Amino acid sequence: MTDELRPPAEHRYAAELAALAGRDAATGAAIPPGWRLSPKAVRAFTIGDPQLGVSRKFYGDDPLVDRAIVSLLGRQGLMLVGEPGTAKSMLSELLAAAISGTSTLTIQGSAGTTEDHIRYSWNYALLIAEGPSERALVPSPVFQAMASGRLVRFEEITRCPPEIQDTLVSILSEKQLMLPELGDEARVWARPGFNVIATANLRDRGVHEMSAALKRRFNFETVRPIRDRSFETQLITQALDAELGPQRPLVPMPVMDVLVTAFADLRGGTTATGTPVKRPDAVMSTAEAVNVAIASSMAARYLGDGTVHAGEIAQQLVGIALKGSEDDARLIRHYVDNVVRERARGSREWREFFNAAEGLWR
Amino acid sequence: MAGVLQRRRGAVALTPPRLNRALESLRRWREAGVYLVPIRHHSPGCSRALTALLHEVRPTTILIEGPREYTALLGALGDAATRPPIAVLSIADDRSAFYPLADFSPEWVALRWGTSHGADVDFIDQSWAARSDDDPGAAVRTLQAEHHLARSTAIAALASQLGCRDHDEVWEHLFELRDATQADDWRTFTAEVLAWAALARLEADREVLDADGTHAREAVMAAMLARHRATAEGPIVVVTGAFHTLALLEAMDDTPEGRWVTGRDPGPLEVERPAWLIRYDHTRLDGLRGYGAGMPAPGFWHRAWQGQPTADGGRALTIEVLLDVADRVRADGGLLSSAEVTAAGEHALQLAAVRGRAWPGRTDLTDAMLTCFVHDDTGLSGALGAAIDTVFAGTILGEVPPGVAAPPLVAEARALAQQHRFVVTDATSHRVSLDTHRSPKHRARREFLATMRFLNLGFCRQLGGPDLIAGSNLGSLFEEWDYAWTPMVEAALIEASSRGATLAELRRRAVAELLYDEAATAATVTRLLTELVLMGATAELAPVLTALRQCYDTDSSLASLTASLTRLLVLRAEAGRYSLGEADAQVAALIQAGLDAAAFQLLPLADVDADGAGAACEAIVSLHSVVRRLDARPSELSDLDAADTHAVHRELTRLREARRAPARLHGCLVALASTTGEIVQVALEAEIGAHLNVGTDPDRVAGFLLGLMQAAPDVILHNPDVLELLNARLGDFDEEAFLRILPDLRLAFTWLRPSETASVATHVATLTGASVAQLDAVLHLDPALAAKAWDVERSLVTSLRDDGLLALMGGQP
Repeated sequence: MTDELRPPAEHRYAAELAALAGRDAATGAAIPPGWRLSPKAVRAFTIGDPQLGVSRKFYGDDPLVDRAIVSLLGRQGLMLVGEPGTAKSMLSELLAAAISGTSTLTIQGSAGTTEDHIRYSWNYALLIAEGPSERALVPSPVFQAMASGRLVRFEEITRCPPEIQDTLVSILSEKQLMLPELGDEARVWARPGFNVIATANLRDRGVHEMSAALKRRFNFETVRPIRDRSFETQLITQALDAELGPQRPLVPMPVMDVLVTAFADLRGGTTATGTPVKRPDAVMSTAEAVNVAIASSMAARYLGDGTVHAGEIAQQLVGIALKGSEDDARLIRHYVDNVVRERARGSREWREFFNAAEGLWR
Repeated sequence: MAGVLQRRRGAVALTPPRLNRALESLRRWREAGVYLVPIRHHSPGCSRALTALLHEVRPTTILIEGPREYTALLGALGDAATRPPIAVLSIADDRSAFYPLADFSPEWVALRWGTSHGADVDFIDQSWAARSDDDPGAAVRTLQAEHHLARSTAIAALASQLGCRDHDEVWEHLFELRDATQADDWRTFTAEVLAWAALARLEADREVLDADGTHAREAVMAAMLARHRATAEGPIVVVTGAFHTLALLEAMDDTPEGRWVTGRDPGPLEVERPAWLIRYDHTRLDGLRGYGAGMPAPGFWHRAWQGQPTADGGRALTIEVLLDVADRVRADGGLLSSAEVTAAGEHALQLAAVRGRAWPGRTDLTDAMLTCFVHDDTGLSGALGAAIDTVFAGTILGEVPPGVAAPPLVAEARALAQQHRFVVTDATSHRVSLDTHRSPKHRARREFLATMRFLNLGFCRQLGGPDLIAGSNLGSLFEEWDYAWTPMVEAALIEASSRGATLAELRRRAVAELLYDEAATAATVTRLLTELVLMGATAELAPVLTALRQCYDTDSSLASLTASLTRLLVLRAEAGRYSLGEADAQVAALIQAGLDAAAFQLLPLADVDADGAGAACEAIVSLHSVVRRLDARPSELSDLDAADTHAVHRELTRLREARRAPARLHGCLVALASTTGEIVQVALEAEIGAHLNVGTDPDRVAGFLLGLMQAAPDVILHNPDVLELLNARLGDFDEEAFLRILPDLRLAFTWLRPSETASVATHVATLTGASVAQLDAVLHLDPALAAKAWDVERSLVTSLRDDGLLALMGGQP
């Protein structure tokens, strides 16, 4: 047993990876230079292979997995884009674990990411004591991946300022990194197996643009949200238990259904019966649905009767919407007019939702 | 032979006993000289295997799944001048169907091999006229529908196991994208196709196949096969959809399941019915996909059939397709570098390798383009999506030999015209007056006229009377039309035959085209709805109603939404002239959806600029009248109790309170609110006073007044105080400011009728202390001076004429 909260994929699925490597060896499958597994084995690792007891880990878009693997075989990097909560990072972790045997060569992008995080920095004590030397150099994950021919993951690349993102441009095209401090000829070059998997959010607030030069060096894959409502219900319930403990206010199933349905409608741009819905700019991710559920539970516990009602869901949902622009509020108002009113005729929960939402506009 | 599909990616582990027997039977009958070839329609893979089989077996008899009556067309089909894509057109009662053939269709390969090698070729399927309609209401029907394969849960499960998107990709993966050896190994190929189709066949219950006519058709096929077996002197090749092969084998083996088919009376086997050979094109072939037939992307498969992708692993084909797409994107102004095209080519080849395919197919190419050409999250849309659609659908048009019989659309239109007592024996213009309110016969005549007008055949036009499309003359009783059966009408009908075989079909197609038009708006779709109702086509309203519902969610133009709502109200109010049928309740629901959509579009109007304010006011005024009409609930709309105008009222109030809105819009909304009593007199005066306050920007005053007058001139007419205030305010402006807003002021007062203008003028005159008479502009002229001027003019003209200069001046010489 490990006391690590969440071990990396290569540890969690070590047995599966070994089984797949074993089959590659047995069948003599061609393994690309620098890779630990054949492309078909990487595919099987991601989308499952019942015959070998390999579980499915990524749901919903098998052709995307094919395309992603093929992209990593080539010169281009792989850019996974999509809304928050669509398992982009998980896919990137799985691919890195299967292809390179490690998913921990990772840069976690933020507004504070600097060029040093992408190239290399120094152990300043050693630098001062010895001057620039290999010993004093602290290699970045990119540096290490190049030197060892493995995949490096760059999470949330659009959270970094564009000039920092662009550090990758020359690395991706020249596949080498100059080390002028160590002498004129000093450089580290990429060994076979090196590539970059970046994840990015193109639409969230607070993200930066990507330069055309950088875009050209990546193949883009859009990961779409999970459309299975019962799966989402399960996720939200788990999150509520984790956040508020088992003594949390009761969220009756019909109320949970209102929450999940409203989020799915507004996120997907259509109801389950096909009525089109206008999508707000605000992120209607599962994570936001969890926030609404938590806030409603709090309201129910401290201000209500201890049980979450659909009216509380509506009030919190409006909070999510109004946090965005006036346009979003208008879109949700239209959703209430166009979809909720019809449902309110036949359902007590939706009626509560409708009444609460109506009262919030004036 | 067990587990034939196992070879490829370990797909199917269990082989049902019934399939095992069929596979064994397939082999046994082959040895006896009967070669059953299960195919998928328009599959180049099947055509390739079939070609190999024909060259090896050299049959003396070739039997093809196609209506019995097509045998009469073998001469034209075998003619050297016939070039695919072509289609055979069948008509029975009021429905028709196409039997298209591309150069890569197995049926085409079989029949051309047969006619050129002197084999006995025969079509063995049930006559189209005897077949039950399995898709009522379809705009287009095909005789090669593959609904069972598309709906099969077993094939869907196989798709998810193989990581394929749908049954089309499963088919490509398993059968099209093979290497040369596998592709030409027709023995294995036919066995595997049989197994694939059996996945769907074994799911289908006997009752389902009885009910949808499959068994009835197979009874005819089995009887024809038995007949040929009795007389044929050499090998027999039977080319049918793979779904039927199992049944034919069981029928020949006389198994219990075989008796489901052979136990039925096949009916008469000799059928003489007309059928027509017409030109067809790949785009339309691709379009049939929506109706359950054939593989997607005929343009791509045509290239694959013409080239030899198995020879070079699909390299040349991949490059050709990618370059063609890139050319089209570039021609459309898009940017695609050669590096990106190269990358996509490599990507496609590698994808095919990862997926275990011998060469890149349709999905590998689209996936590669998605990865390498798209650098954001928009997917295959815009110019790229359009280019891919064009290249994959293909643009080739077929040829039929000269002299083949003209299609029967002309005769149908003529017969219908006569049936409705229109004169078609001369080409002169005739006039009719139709009482559509009271006479069902007149209504039927109008329906015919409306159909001919809708199809743009140049036959007729409406001259007067109630015009529901324009929404005019609704009070009058008689519809006035004129019409003429000219040669141009016949020419237009012949021309139209390639789009549809009957008037009803032409109409369905035109409707579908209008609905899929990107420019379709709520207003145009509602117009279409009205036209269909006038044509009496109530059974065809469903897709239009659905499309209109969608338009309400996509159309952002308040003018279009309001026009649509107005039309819908007219449609309900004039319901005595036609039947809305079951659509009646849906129209009521649509009015509600339209109101909500219009409410949604109101608030953005606060941001229109001054130029757009006039149009915005116009739309708001008509929306307001729609809402007032619904709120008043006149008797003909009384069942619209459900119509809830609350959202519109709420958003109108929000818009009125939005201070950033242009003055004209504000004036308009204030006036409207006062007419419904939403704001009381005192509040109205306060609003007007605020806008006419000293120091207000003159443009804002003029804009406010314009809006006020556009929406409700009564506000000025019946409120002397307001007029006084206005007069005083205008008097405060300096001359420059006054002249600047003068055009707007003039425009504002044009909304008054002349008598109202006079009344306002009288009042203003009183206010300014002038008399009404003084306001009339009277020109006083000295008669002596006028006579003198006239003399000068006359002598000048005379002098110019004498000098021959008048023409140069532009006068009459």
